[in-house]
Amino acid sequence: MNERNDKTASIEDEAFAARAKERFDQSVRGLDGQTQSRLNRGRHAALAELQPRQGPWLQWAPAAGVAAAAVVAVVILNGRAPVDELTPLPTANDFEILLNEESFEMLEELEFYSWMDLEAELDDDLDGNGNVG
Amino acid sequence: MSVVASEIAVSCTREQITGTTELHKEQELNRFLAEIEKRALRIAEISIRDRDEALDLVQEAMIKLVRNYADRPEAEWTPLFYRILQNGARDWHRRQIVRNRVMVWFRRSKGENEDYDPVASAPDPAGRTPEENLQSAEAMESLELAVAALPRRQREAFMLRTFEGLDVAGTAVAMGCSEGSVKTHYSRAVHSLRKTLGEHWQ
Repeated sequence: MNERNDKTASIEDEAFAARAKERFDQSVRGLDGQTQSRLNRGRHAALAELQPRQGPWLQWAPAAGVAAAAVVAVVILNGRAPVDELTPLPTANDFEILLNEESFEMLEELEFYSWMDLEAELDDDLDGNGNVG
Repeated sequence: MSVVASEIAVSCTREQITGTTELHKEQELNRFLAEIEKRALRIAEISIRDRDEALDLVQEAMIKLVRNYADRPEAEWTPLFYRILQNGARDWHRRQIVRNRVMVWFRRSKGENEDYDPVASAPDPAGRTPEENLQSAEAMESLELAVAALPRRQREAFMLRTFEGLDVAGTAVAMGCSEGSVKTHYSRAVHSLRKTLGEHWQ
């Protein structure tokens, strides 16, 4: 008698569960487009978790790129006019000499100044030998 | 030359395999989540009676599943997902209890009439009785209210077994209890619902 009651209750429970499931599935199918869209966005946000994350050092990548570009620019600009460390840089005095009017006169009378140099050397040689006064 | 070339080839092949595996995993997870998300939303909504909050809970559960359990076998995803979701719903209820306590404390300083909601208190315009309501197209709403009124463990067992279709073992994993407890909670839930909704509920 008890067994029959239990069996009947079990069948009724199953029938009730089946009806409940049917109602539930209907409500799932009736979800509006906006809700489905939000679920879709949520799913894609979750799947984005699979993508490898940027390391903290990568946050400095833009700044490092700018710094590297600046270094390269400096190197290139310096490379255009290589400076010989043994050659002294021109000073203000050098420019004064070059721009002096006398300098131009010296260039015009270059042969005269060459003769004077030659004479001076000859005098030195004679003095060094002690032969002449 | 040949050694270097073969090493490069092996390295490329490994990368391709890794990429293919990850793509395959992503596709599997996408399919799994797309298949489960609507039912999960309705289950969460029935539990906390708020769609926006339910959407947040479902998204949170999806993120946690992908972040922590993507490498687990696919057969484990469903109970794990619902375990995360149930924990989220439980935390939500706890927060609500605290919030309600605070709100009750503030309401004491207000007049009693401010709690009166004329819309909620208005009679049903269709003039239906509760018995007629059970037989109407709003049967699901009645079921939802009855399920929401169940004790938490009974509610979880009923929704996971009936709505999601998990077996006893899967439900036990999702609820974090023994299979015997699942059977007990489920049986009590069904009896309680049948009693609440009546024999003529369709």
